[in-house]
Amino acid sequence: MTKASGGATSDEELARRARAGDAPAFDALVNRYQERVYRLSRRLTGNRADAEDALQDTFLQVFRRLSTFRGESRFSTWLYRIATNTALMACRSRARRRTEPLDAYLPQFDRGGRHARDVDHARASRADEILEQRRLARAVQSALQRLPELYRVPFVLRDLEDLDTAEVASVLKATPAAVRQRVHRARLMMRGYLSHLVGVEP
Amino acid sequence: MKRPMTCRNGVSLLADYLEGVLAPGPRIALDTHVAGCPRCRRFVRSYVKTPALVREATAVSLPSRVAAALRRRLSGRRS
Repeated sequence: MTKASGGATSDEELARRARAGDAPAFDALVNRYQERVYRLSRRLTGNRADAEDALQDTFLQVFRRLSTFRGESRFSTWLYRIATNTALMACRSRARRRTEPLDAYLPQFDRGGRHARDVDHARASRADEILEQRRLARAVQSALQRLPELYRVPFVLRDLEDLDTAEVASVLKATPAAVRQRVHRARLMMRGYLSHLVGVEP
Repeated sequence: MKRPMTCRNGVSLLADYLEGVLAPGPRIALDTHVAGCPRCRRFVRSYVKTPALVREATAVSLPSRVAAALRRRLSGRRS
């Protein structure tokens, strides 16, 4: 984060020092963000090998492009933009996966605009236990990969990495309203898909 | 905002509602609808729960082997 609380040096100050050739300052930035960049990369690419490549490529790019970081946005925003683009490149360079659309899992309404499906509580309440199982973790990750990139990226940044809407908008160079709309769409598709796995009655 | 509040309309407003950026008129209409619609109440619960489930299912930590590989790659490039 950018805050210099409790005497910790701010990201922006470390970036300034790293730009001036201070290797320990750069290492401190890597230490601060490597965990988050790796997790983001795993969520965006859906596999370890791509995530590992994306992690390395991200920090190499950060190192090379530090001179272009002018402090106009927060360092974290700049870094997330590089990390996001790098992870997406890793996905694209890999052979195309099958992309069954998740549109079928969007909520259904009847003619009067009322919900046409309901949640099956007994099954939904077991979601927490089922979550322990690797099978579900894999299914969720695969569902995430099947979300169109347009929705997947803001969903991952906003809902999984906990950036606020304004920062996601800044990372993606989109408006906050567009981010909210895309995150919403992603939540609907993921909700429908997960409900399908853990309990919805048609 | 004169159109009648239906489940469909309500769902389309959920993200803005939860982020607190919905205008008072639609917000009150949505509250009223959800209060009287059990399906919507369950829908909202599952909508809110979805990101938490996905976050938990996709949480990973950085393996030390991967961190070490990163460190090697970076020191190789910088020296």
